[in-house]
Amino acid sequence: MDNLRKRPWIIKTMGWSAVLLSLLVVMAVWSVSTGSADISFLTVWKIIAGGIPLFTSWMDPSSWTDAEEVIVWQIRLPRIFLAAIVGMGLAVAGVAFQGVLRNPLADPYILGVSSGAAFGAALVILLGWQQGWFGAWTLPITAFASAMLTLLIVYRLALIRHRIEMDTILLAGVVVQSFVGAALSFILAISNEHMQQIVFWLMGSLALSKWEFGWVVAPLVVAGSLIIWFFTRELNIIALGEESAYHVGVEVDRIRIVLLVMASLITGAAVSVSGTIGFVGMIVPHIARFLVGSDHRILLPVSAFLGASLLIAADTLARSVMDPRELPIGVITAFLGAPFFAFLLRRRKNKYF
Amino acid sequence: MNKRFFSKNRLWMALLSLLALMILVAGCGDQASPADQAPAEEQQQQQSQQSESESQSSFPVTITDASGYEVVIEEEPQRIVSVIPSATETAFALGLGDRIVGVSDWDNYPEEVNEKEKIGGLEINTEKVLSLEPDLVLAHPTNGEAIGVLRELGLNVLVLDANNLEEVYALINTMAKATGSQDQAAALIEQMKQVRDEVVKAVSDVPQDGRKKVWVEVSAELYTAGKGTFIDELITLAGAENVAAEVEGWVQMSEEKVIEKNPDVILTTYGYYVPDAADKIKQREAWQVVSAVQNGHVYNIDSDSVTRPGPRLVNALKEMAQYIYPEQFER
Repeated sequence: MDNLRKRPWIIKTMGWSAVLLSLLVVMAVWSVSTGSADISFLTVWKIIAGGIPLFTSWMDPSSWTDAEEVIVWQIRLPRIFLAAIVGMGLAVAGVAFQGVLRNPLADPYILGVSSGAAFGAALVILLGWQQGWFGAWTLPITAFASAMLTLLIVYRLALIRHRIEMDTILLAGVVVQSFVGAALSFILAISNEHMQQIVFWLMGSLALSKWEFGWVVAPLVVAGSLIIWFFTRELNIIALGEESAYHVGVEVDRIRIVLLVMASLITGAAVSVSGTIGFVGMIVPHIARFLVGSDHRILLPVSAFLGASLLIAADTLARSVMDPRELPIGVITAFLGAPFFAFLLRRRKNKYF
Repeated sequence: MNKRFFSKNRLWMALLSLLALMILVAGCGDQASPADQAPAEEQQQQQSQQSESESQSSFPVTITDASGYEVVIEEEPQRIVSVIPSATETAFALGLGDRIVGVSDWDNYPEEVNEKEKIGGLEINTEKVLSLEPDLVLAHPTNGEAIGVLRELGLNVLVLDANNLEEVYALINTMAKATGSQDQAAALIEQMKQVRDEVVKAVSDVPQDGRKKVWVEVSAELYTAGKGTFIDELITLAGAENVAAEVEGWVQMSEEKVIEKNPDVILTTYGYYVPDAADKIKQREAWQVVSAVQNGHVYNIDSDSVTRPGPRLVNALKEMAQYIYPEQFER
């Protein structure tokens, strides 16, 4: 108890986490009960309970159809799960990038990870390798690999005399990104009938998600987030400026690299299954900072929950606003995110970054 | 060191400019040659066409095209460039194949198009079109700005559009009027109507409540064809019900909607560039409850013939109807 009193941030984190976890649950409940198929709220929950071993015996499977069960268990739930994981990953990566680079405009794609992933994905689609060596996993694996390769190139470019300057790595990111972007445009130009598929991937979507996607990406995102969380005390010190960090005895260089690599890894994993969903990674950390201040120890978990909730909400809107059409989720995140961000900017006149 | 680098750079610069110059000269030479050959070809064509078009020569003609532009054609066109595959197909069906001197990159039907000059795809290479010296350019509203550009360059551009079978007949007649091939057009339309009627007759005894539900998948991302598309019209003509009939145009449908609708037959139009498209649908875990998947009624159909407003639409109609109601065609 005494221990806790000395660390008020733990209490604050737990309080906010409880609040935001409830938000996440509310979002998930809303999401699973919403969709173009006409299934009543009650039926949805009967179906969910029917799928949980403990409750199965109480439920009467004849009160719903096979199609309804499939829609809930194999279409809506995996999608919600993946939305939560991707949203969480992008938000955490956003916090890390903004903290390490000390730049409020930083987002998870700033080092070119997304363009690398997009290039890999476009190449797979262009060459018709969707069923290549790794079956349905060929595209995500290639996207992830090319994202990591891009990161490696950026890192290598920025490494000068065994040191990495943050300005240099940002510039390296811009350079590599524009080069890879040109390569991507080239692929698009020669892609003929595949163009639609590539554009669809670029816009980002959680449609046709499978449970497997979530299960494979989740460990990466969660582990990466935990590692970043482990360094949040150092992130706070870095935020004060490089000089002071040195004086406190923080190995700024090495920690920054670890954080950048972890954040890029998370981003790469998220992008490889969902495409490039914009805005979440940049906006969510700002919203969280507005709510809880800039202590990264609190900011990180809060951003994680917020990111998950926001992406679930965005995806639910994406598939229900123009029902039965689907909209690209990136459209929704930008539509929601930009005005909200503008509102925050006006509300908070003093500088809060 | 520095100085040597500098001179090396200069050497490279010189070499590069030389190379560029050579390419330029070679390019000019290339372009000149087809123009040289053209007159001879033209003569041949004129000779062969003279006899058949004499009876119907009614030039000059004035046609208000799909872009609302009054196209005046002074003489029977002898060098036609088609910048849109549907027009190429129609032109070939009208027996104008020999007069076509250029087609778009997308063109793949009939086979003879492979021997024609290519004038670009998404972006039309106006220079290339000009160099072919066409006296008629066939285009579609989707060609957009290029239409105006070609007109400003002094070319006769005929914009053709059709959104249903009736309009395709009209399109064929318009093209025939512009090219002096009315007789061939009448025969072609007659032939198309015959196929259409044959299919409609074959499915005529399918009862209203026994109509099958069809999901047409245009891409694996669940893009489909709603109301106002040829696919929707053909499904209806084939005596079936389009699962996506409630939406307009080409849209992405939500997966759960398709499963809820429970289609009896699934047709894909992307089998030509995605290997095993139909098999992949059959393997979708969530789709195992769908009747079409359970009964194995998932087929790849030819994409071009259902999307291009041309003479092959009726073939597509027949193909679709045979997949949807195989028993109606067995007898």
